[in-house]
Amino acid sequence: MKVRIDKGALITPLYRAQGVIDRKASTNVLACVHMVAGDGGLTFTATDYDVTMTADVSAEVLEPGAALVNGRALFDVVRALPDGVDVLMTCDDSHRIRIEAGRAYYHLNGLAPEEFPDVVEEGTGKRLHLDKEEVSGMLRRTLFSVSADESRPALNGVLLEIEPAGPTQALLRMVSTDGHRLSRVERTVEATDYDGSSYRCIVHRRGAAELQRIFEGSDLGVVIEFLGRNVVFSSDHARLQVRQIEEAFPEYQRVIPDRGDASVSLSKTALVNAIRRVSSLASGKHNLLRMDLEPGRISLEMVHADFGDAHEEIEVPEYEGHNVSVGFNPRYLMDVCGVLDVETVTLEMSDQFSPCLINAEDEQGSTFVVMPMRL
Amino acid sequence: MDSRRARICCLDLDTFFVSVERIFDPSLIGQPVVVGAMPGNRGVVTAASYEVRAFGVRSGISMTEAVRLAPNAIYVPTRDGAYAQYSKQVRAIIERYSPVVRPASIDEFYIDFEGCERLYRQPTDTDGDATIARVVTEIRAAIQTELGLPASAGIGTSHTIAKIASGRAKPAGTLMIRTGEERAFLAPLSVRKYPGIGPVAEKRLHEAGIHTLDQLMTAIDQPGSKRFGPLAACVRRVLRPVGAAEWREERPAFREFDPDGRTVGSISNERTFMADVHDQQQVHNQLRALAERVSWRARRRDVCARTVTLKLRYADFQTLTRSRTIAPTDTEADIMRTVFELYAQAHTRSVAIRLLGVGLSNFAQAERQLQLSFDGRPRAKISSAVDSVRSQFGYQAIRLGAVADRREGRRGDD
Repeated sequence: MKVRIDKGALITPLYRAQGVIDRKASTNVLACVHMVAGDGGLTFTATDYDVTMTADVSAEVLEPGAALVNGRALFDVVRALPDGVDVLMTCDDSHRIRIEAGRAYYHLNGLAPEEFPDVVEEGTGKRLHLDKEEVSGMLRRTLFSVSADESRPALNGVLLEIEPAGPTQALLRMVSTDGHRLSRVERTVEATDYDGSSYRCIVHRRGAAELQRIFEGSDLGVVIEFLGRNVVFSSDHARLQVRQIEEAFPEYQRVIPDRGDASVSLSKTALVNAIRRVSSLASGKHNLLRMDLEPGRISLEMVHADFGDAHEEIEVPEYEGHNVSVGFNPRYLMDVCGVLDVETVTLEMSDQFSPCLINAEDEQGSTFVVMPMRL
Repeated sequence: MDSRRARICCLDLDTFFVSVERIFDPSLIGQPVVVGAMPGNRGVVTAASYEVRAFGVRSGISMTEAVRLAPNAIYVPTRDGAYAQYSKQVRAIIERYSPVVRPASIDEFYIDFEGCERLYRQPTDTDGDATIARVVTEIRAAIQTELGLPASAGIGTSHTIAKIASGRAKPAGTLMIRTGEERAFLAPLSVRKYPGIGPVAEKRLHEAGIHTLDQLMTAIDQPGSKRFGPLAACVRRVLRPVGAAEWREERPAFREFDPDGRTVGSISNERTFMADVHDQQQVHNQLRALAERVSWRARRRDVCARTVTLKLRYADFQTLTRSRTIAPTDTEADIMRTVFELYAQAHTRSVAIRLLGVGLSNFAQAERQLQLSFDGRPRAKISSAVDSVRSQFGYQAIRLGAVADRREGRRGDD
């Protein structure tokens, strides 16, 4: 293999591969990127078996062939090169890769390209063209509440549901939960090639996070494709294949209350700032934020047994309901406020044991549920 | 090291259940009274008045035995609720004097007076010890005049010394063992007086020619002596005044209300059937009742259990225990499910069942963060509602629907 390629074009797929390559893998191949040169370009593939990333870049192919080399090492080498240089990359018969740029050159020890597992699922499945911004925004609103607890695999991903919503429209829904809080985002999207069938799958959080990285490119659309046990997301130059989590997602509808007995709308900025100030005393397990809702105001309080206590009040003139006291993990509230691009949020609570519903009038279709902490 | 003063007090209500019954029925005063299950069934003596103790009746012996020893005593059945009410009032009185009060049982309280001597000092007190002894006597007097309950108190440098001293102070006395006096105080006592030395250890010690604590202390003091390993370590620790941090660790069995060490120890309840039982429905109901009780106790202690243990004794006294470790929980539903699974696995014989027990251990601090209830059961809300009813009206005020026949057999806490 011998290719000449611009540094800027080379760094992008290598950067995208960093999230997928498994640095702690027992087998070396999973820490590698696989490169194939041919037909006017280079194809990069990296995998950890659950998530497989493929990216194409155009390059001047002087000699077709393949190479397999440690993805981190190659990325570090290329990143250090001056911007704008042409990189000449050669792989010899002993799998050694030579990288030349200007007056610098490197040798990296590679592996036999045939050792790379055959992970890319071929064929075509049901496809759906969607707006990239839409999907990206939905992911941002759900990824933060995915569970990292490996003992509950069904919660380790974002539930993706697609249902018919009109002649050329689909209802796209993403749900995530870690058992303490839940995010549900629904959007009706234009989907010209949608055949009207319903889909449901759980996309592992690592795949979903990689998806965000792939979206950093300039393409406008994304294609979702259901292929056997995988779901594939592709844009013009990159393809991300994510193995579905084959578990039953919990019945999330059950934990989303229709409404709460007490409903209060307030400025998101005021809420976030007050929580941030009051929770400056939070440390480790001492993170109980007490929220007392009463006519005209919300009082926030945090007491730390060793350090002291913090208080702040937010005026909510329009609230005239009854008094409610609820405890929260402040981070859970901040996370929700962090993903909502609105100025006014609505909190609905019933009592100190019932789920708190958070949504925004200016952003229909985004619903968040946070379970309280015991007071 | 010897800077530790005698500031731990063990206050024990004298013949508590009998004393309470005497408040309700003053004609019992001066009479030989036994409180417990009704004669003729498998229950035990809960409390015996001093008048009847002369005949050998003690709390814990079976009713049948008690009736044999003292056929003419007055037998009074235990009542619900009243004892706990009085115990609460006693605690309230003690809390006027010291903020650190740990109920060890319904009629026994540990009080830490560390740092309180200057607060109560009077010109007539010769030193801090005298101040504390006087205050303790005042507390006892307050309990006697306000509630009509006699109490005894022991004061020492450790839990164990205070406990033994309270026993020696009975009836209605105060005994202080000052720093350095521990050995002389313990020396003449029989080994059995030492908490932790039961009939089995006593027999072993007797076989070794050891009858008094003096002999025991001499034996373990000998250089290179490896005899009575754990026991010796325990006795040595008591002879050496311990630090404040240590005394809280001293008696894990009494940790029910100890906020500093809630996750130490275990919680268990067991029940002996009045008559041995074959009926699986009855067995299941009993398991439910036991699971309900231990869950409630775990919640009161603010802990979640990781390990659930089932104890099963057949009519022929074959006894099995089976444990399982699960995700930390304090709810009836989870504990009950595990108990039933353990029972299904343990119950292999067609012999009738004599006793069932359920225990929780391996505690974690109760998680403050509530979980989403995907199964549609708001566990925290249900538990909290149940607990608030109970805190006002008592444990029996609200029970699981499936638990029938609830006062059967005797109950054994801890």
